[in-house]
Amino acid sequence: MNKKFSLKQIFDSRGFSAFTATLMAIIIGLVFGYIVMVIASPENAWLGFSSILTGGMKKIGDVFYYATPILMTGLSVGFAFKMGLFNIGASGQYTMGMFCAMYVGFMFDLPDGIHWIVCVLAGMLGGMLWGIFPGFFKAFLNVNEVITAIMFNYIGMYLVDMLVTGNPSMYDSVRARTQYLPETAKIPSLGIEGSNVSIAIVFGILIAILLYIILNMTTFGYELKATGFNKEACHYAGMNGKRNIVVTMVIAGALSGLGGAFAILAPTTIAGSSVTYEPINVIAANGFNGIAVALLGNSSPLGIIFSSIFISYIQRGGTLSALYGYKPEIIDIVIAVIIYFSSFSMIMGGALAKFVNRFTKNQAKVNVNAESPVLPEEGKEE
Amino acid sequence: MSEYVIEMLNITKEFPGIIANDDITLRLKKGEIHALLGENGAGKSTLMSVLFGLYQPEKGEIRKNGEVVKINNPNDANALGIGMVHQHFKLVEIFTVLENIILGVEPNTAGFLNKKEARKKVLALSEQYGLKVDPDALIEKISVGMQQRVEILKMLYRENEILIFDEPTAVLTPQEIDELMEIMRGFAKEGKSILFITHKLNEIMAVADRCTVLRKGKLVGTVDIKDTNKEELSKMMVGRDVNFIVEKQEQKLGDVVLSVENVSVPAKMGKKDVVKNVSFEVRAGEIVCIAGIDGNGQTEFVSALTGLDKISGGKITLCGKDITKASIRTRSTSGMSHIPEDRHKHGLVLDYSLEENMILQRYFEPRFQKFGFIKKKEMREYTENLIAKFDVRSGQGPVTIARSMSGGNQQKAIIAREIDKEHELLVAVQPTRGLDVGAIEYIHKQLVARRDAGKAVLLVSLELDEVMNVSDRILVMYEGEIVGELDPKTTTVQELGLYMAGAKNNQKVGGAANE
Ligand SMILES: Nc1ncnc2c1ncn2[C@@H]1O[C@H](COP(=O)(O)OP(=O)(O)OP(=O)(O)O)[C@@H](O)[C@H]1O
Ligand SMILES: [Mg+2]
Repeated sequence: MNKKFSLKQIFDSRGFSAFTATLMAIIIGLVFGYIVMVIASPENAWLGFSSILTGGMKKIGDVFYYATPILMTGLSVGFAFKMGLFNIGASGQYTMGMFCAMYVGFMFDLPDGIHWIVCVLAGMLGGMLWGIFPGFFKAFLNVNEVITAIMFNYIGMYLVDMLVTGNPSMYDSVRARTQYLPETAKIPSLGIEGSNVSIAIVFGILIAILLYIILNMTTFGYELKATGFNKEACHYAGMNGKRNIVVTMVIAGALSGLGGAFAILAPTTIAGSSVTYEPINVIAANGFNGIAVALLGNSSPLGIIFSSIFISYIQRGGTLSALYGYKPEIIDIVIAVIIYFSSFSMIMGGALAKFVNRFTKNQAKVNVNAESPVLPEEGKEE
Repeated sequence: MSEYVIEMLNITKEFPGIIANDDITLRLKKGEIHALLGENGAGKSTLMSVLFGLYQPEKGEIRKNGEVVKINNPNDANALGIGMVHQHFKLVEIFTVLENIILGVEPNTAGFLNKKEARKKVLALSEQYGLKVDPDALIEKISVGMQQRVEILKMLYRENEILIFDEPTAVLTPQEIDELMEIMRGFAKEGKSILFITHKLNEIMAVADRCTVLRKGKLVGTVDIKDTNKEELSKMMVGRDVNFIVEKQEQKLGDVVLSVENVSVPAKMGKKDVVKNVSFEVRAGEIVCIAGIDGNGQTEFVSALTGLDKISGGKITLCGKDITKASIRTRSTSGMSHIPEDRHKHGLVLDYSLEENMILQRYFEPRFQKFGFIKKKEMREYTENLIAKFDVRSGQGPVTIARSMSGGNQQKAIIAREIDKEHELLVAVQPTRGLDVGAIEYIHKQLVARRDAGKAVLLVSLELDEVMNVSDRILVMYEGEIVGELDPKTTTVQELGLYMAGAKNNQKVGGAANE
């Protein structure tokens, strides 16, 4: 038919409305950030703002470097969310993964080219271990996974800090941080000049694609998403809900654990040094950033690839705006606003659809046969 | 002034892939009960939703008392005095009855909620119309019948004059249906105008003044009830004669397929058993029906039989295999199919597409997966086949999201899935709830075909007609016990009613039925 018709079709598709909603959220977040900057310091606002927008360009290696761990924790949170589980324990899993990777790095003497791979796998196992607990408690004792996961965030963090400070071959008590990891334990660099980015980002993206395939093409993904939508129907269909909960949490833990391993095993630009960990009793922020990344990516593995890179990108720009006297926290505000609005994607999608209606006479997205109005849930988009 | 309170003129409403309402005109007189009849997916709910402001039609106009009005949302409808009870209720589960009734029109003094006044008004209304509710009960704790009364009170509280009832009787017991009919008559006498959707022709003949019939989104016509009859109405709606009598072949009884021995089921809360010592057998080639008034343990019994809930004692055997403790999956693969009572809670994953729902019980079979990968092509072909066979109507075929399908077609999809699955025993709970007469005729034929193919069928139904017409043997359940075993050929509806009410019992107390 005519142009109008195809426009209407595009706006009808769920994927598109999720995408436009996110885009609108990003724009609103940026505008909001700009307003805050104008209020804080009007004369530098435009310079500061443009460094947020374009600063990431100048440090493209760093963008990917910082995107790597939040890509993994984002995938972790998003994957569990597909099943209706809120994995707030990504931080603990991340910390455990980091510790296990480090432990193998310090304590094992393995040949070059093999050592780092074993470290990464150890990190994955560490994360898995921390994913099992909330999964197990949820599946067999019906304890809310959020509560267990928060507890295990603390248990993991204190445990790791204790183990690190008590181990002289790992801990440098003078500098109050871990020692430099041996060269063999570091993940090979991606080779972008002047940044720590490693080939881990490539693994991360491949893993995201793998998750996409699992979710959309396999029977496991079928069960998992069905459970996220309607647990009762899955029970009726004879799915093993308990096993699926545990498996999902183990996978989510593995992803976060990999995030921790990727972070600590990153190659550094200065020869002989390495990324270090300071055991100062703080819960890893990258775990919580994973929640933001997952929300913005609409819990879809492919969406999360982009959202992690995007968040890392404006964070780099944010640090650059410090040149004009702005605190880098300004970016946290922007990100918070973006997340806030993207969570309203239903309203946003609805508003946009109405706007388009004016021109195409499209229908509002309500359905009388549903017991509640159809929301473009986090769950369904690809 | 116009003779009509509401006129919907030449309404057209499209959805992706389907014209749900195609140039439909409906006129509602003041003080009349106007029935809306049509097959599943004919567009009844859609048309009413247009009137209620949930959908905007592409074409057509709505007039109230002769004046053109624009209804952009339910608030506009409300302002015009239009209220609606939806096919699937729209209540906030965790709110009380009172809170739900006043939601959106909360009375307040200087911004503070004034519940006292609201309570007085609600109690007065409930008194006046005989709509018994407990204002402080939580919605999730009360029966569907009471939930519906809440929906009705919501309209009365808003002083609506035009009341839309979308399949209100599908979820009610026969007693509740009678009460509702009475209430509707009362409304009409007061001058309120009622639009009433139902698939039950008896109800239309009993209360309606006029009836508008839709077929596949198009208007067939509007008739006066006093000039018509059931047969004519169903012919208008389906486009052919509908046979209300189920034809059955001579029965060929086979081996025992299901044997239930002294099964007891505990209540959800508390320790008392809601199903007590139930024993019976179902053999290949027969349809056994569990009849009874809603709430006498049928739901709990079926949950236990199909493995959704645990039993507290007894033994269940399927095709000679002890399945008392077996998982749901084992029961299913050992030959049990189950059409569940609650299609939204158990039967469907509403956010999945039709095709994804069609393989819900079979996705793990080699036919539908290889190395854990779902065979999408097979899934598609299988679904297309079932759609054709069972006449499941939807906007976009296999890829339609189940949530967007009409209520009756959702039910047909479940039935198609369960009947087509390999089985020896079919457990069908209220399989025809919400279906049009044509579809009911078809489903009854299918049930009988299962029987004639040597399968065992266990039917649980609240509809007396269905019980009498379809079954070979009737077991009456009263307060968790089987109180009667009857032969539909030699029993009357009256006698069945006495058993259902607990006034008669032909079983030894606590004894087994078939020994
Ligand atoms: N929100 C929606 N999106 C897409 N299609 C829809 C939507 N609502 C209804 N439809 C389609 O429009 C058609 C008419 O649906 P409607 O719910 O009006 O039927 P109905 O007459 O009420 O049927 P039933 O007796 O089964 O309730 C159906 O084919 C349905 O699939
Ligand atoms: Mg309907």
